[in-house]
Amino acid sequence: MVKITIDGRHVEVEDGQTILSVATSEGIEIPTLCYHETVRPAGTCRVCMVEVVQDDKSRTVASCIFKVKDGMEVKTDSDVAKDARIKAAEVLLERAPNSKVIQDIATRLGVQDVTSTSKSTEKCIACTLCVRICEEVVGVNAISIVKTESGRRVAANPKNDTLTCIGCGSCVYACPTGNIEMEDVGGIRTIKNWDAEFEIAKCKTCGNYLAPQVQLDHIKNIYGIEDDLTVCRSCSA
Amino acid sequence: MEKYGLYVPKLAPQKEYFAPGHRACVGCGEMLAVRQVCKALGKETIVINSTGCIEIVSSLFPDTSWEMPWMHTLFDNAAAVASGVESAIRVMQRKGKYRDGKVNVVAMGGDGATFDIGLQALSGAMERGHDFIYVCYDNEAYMNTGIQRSSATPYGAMTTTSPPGKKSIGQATWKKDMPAIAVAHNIPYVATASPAYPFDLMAKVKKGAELKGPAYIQIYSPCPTGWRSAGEISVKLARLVVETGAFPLYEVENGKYKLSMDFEKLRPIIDYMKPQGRFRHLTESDLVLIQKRLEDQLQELRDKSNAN
Repeated sequence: MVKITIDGRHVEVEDGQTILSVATSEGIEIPTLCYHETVRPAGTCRVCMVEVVQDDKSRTVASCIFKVKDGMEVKTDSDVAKDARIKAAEVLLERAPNSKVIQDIATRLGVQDVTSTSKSTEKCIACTLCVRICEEVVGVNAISIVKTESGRRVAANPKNDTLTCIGCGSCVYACPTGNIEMEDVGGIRTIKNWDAEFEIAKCKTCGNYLAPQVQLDHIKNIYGIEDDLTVCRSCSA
Repeated sequence: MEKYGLYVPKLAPQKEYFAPGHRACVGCGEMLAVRQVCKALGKETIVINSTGCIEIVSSLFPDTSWEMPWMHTLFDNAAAVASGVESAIRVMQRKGKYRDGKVNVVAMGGDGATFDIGLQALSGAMERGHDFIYVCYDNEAYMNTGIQRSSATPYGAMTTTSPPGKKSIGQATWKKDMPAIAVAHNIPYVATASPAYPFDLMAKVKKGAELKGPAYIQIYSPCPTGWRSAGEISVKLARLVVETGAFPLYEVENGKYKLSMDFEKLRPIIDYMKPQGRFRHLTESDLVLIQKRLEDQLQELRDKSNAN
């Protein structure tokens, strides 16, 4: 157990926790964007910055990755912390000026003017949340960060013998800026960002669309199921 | 078919705001829907709950299931109280007596409290344009008081006040089109949802909360006790009702209709009605009549949806 002070409150918390998780359990709200409770934090978006005072030295840290230490004082609402968040928001605005989510969070963090001069048409902020989810939750490692001339981008891994995208939509659901788009039209599921197309299998009893065939194959593979799984839940049982 | 599946449920918010241990019947679809709605809305929410099953089962003294501010009102005035709460927050924020930031004000009620008793208060609140969400849990009768018919009860259904027999088919009128009444108020958002499609439901609730102005969301809520169906098939019924076209899922944003999911081939209505005791007396010709009507209604929705 370690003793820390957070926004003037003295609390005793378990060792190894991040500042963000302590703040959340104390009911203190810290804005986040690239954080998701099910995957490891990465500290890429920097909107969760807080001020930490330790041994009379003050500095700002990303609360989602910074672990608590004995005797530290955390200020989530100080001017220093707010300035750090505004700077983070400005960097994000520079990269993704047209994203409504980024504009909203920038306003919330105290940026006066959210109209950026940046000409970027990007909506991705390279926060790597989709990459982490594809690796840790889905377990197929279908996407990764690549470096291009225009900066860091997320792209699909080249197709080879290893597992690739199964069209589950986890990245679409989790993307904080809504950059990844998935569409089901006429029995084909497309995820434009990954250049992926999947044929959707039909239920062999009722004939309605069931799930992408590649997903059914994936389930059969990992659980060793013999059945071809092409009966929908309403038709089975 | 819902877009999200497989691994996406692991990514849904894990924090629960509607605690287990309440006294709802086994297999209650309404509580499932309440849980999903609360999850979608998150912490900054005030719930105004009209009289009905939800209020009875979740707040038995000295316990409560609500981990968010919750207020119980009469049968008829949930929307009026929600208007008051929303206005009070707005005024206090203007005077600097309340912290800034968005607070979701949510009025909840069953179909009786929405379609019949609370309709005038709801109509008033929607017309005045308060920034709140009204969620109607539609279990198609007054279940809490002992399965009396309401204007949400579908044609042919057995209830204690519409008993089928030699001279009666059961409920003799068709279900009131409540979403259309809400649309007629020119409010920004109207949607229907089913707890069998949780991501669709949560997305709609979130959208309703984000938009400024009133939002009306009608959620289909299976009731094993009132429908004389088995508790374990509640979710299946919530899915079948969509697949048979008896409760199409759609949203209306600023007057523009959009079907959330459509099926190439509708499932026959018998698949949905057979597991339920309330439709047991219906004959072949009744089913044909009902099927025809449902198909016509769905076609109407398709036309409206395609017109945009």
